[in-house]
Amino acid sequence: MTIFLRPFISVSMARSFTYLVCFLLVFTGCKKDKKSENPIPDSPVENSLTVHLSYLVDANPLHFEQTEYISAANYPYSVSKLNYYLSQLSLIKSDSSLLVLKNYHYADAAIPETNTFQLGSIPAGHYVGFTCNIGLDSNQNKSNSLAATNDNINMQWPEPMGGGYHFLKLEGYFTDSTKTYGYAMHLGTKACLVKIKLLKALVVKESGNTDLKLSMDLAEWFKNPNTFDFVKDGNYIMGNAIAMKKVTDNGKDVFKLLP
Amino acid sequence: MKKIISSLIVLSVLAACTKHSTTLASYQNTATTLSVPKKFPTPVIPSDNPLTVEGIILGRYLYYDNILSTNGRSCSSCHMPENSFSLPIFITSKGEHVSVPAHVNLAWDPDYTWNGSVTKMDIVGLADFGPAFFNTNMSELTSKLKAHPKYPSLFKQAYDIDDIGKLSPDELQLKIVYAISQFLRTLISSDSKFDKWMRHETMFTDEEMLGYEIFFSEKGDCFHCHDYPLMTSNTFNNTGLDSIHSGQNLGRYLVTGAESDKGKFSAPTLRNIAYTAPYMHDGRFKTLEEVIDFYNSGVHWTSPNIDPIMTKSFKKYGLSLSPVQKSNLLQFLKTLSDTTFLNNKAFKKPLDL
Repeated sequence: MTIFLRPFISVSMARSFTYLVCFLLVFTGCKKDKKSENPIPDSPVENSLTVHLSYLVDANPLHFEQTEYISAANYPYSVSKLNYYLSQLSLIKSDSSLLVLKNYHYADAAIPETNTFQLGSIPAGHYVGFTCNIGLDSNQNKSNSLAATNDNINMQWPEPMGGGYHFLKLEGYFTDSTKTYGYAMHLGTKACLVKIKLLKALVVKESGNTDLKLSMDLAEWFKNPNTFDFVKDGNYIMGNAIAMKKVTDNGKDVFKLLP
Repeated sequence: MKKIISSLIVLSVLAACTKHSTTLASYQNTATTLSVPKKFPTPVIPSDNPLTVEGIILGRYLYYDNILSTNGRSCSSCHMPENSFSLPIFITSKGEHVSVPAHVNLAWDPDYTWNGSVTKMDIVGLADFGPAFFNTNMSELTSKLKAHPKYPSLFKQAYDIDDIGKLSPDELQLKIVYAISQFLRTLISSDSKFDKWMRHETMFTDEEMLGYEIFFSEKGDCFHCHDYPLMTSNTFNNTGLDSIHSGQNLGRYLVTGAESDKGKFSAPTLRNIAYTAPYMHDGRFKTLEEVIDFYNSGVHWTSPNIDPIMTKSFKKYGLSLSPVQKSNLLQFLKTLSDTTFLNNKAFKKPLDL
């Protein structure tokens, strides 16, 4: 067949064909680089990494609406809502470079399905820790940049207030003397991005599953370095840059890696 | 949407042509999809009730037809197109006043009724066959549908049913409410002035712009429960309507039994809100001005379970909006009116019914 066809293919045609193949290869290569939500495919998996998110309040189990905890500023309080984004979820390699596992993840502490997620085909090896942001980095924190899901829509940060998305919604009730009030710790905008870095030796096996267990202690949002006072600092902080900064600064210690 | 409308028109004409025919049209079931407006989430269509052109047509006829009742009522009696498919007020057998929720963008609602008592739209209508609404006599209904010049063919085309009379009453009810649900999912509003402004197709007046800024900032703080594009968060909230809850005012508690749900109601969409007076689950506010006044100075701050975003220390006594700001907010709310939706002929009563 090749011999039969050869007389009909001119040198210029062959050259054009070669250019076309090269162009298509380059074009295909470019497409591969396009940003996706998950830089590492979910499946099929040879190995997997399962991220588990769990919640405590001062080392006690989180019970929505029921248990009253005591804040660092000495107010009895409860929790009714915890919604947040994690972004740039990454394993830290031994040379300090990062392996980005997932670009962003939405979690609702009350919905179990959002608190466990599996990632596949992780390069096996030894890692020295885990890092992520609470909130969305500046590339993602733009209005309508995320998929139009109900969760993402309800996390929108209005345009007149800067646009983008809420990074965190932590809500509940606190008691001042004898009266009960609501509190709404809402974080958003670039200044409120919380960077998390947890150093711990991690081994990802070539096959099978590795668990990554992250535990958030909600009490940490109200202490260290700033003892947050619902009455003095504000029980509704959205748009209150000073109060949002206080809570943001406290956020760096909210997560721990569990064994 | 254009595709659906065109198909509806063609099939309506075809259905009209067969009015006097005694033979059933052949089974013709054409799968279709909703045209999802930009920035809207993907709607969830239940796998047991996929959208078909013929199902939507049957649902539209049934929605407007009082053949379903023994008291002259149809779905549209309580969901009038001119009121964005709602009704000013409905009085229950217990004498409770209920503001009838608008049928708009229901394809995106995860639950139905003010307290979310039903989580699947396709079965909401089953309760309407009871004495409180249609008081349907099922054997009478079956006979009427069977003898009707149009419905045997419409049921055949939508469901491949040769004889309506062979369906049990439960089966027939389910077929009816499933078809109506298909029609309801097509009632999509996405062409209000606010939509056009978001698409850079029109300009706001100064008053509307100021109202928009109040709505979408902590000043009015409306956006937490009524964000774009659905203009509802689809969540249950107690906004401090009452300090003590009883009867229907217990809200979500009547479904879950959880103390923390007392006084919580499903946040309604604000699309076409100017057409759906009176307001709140019991229609206690006659005008949008009254609603704004309530949030400005009438909230019961001691209401148990009042939503945390309502109890702001610096706003304990209301939003503190000036009369001009209240007027601006009202002007913005009116930009949510979608006359394209309200006047859409594909959503109205079939001309030959």
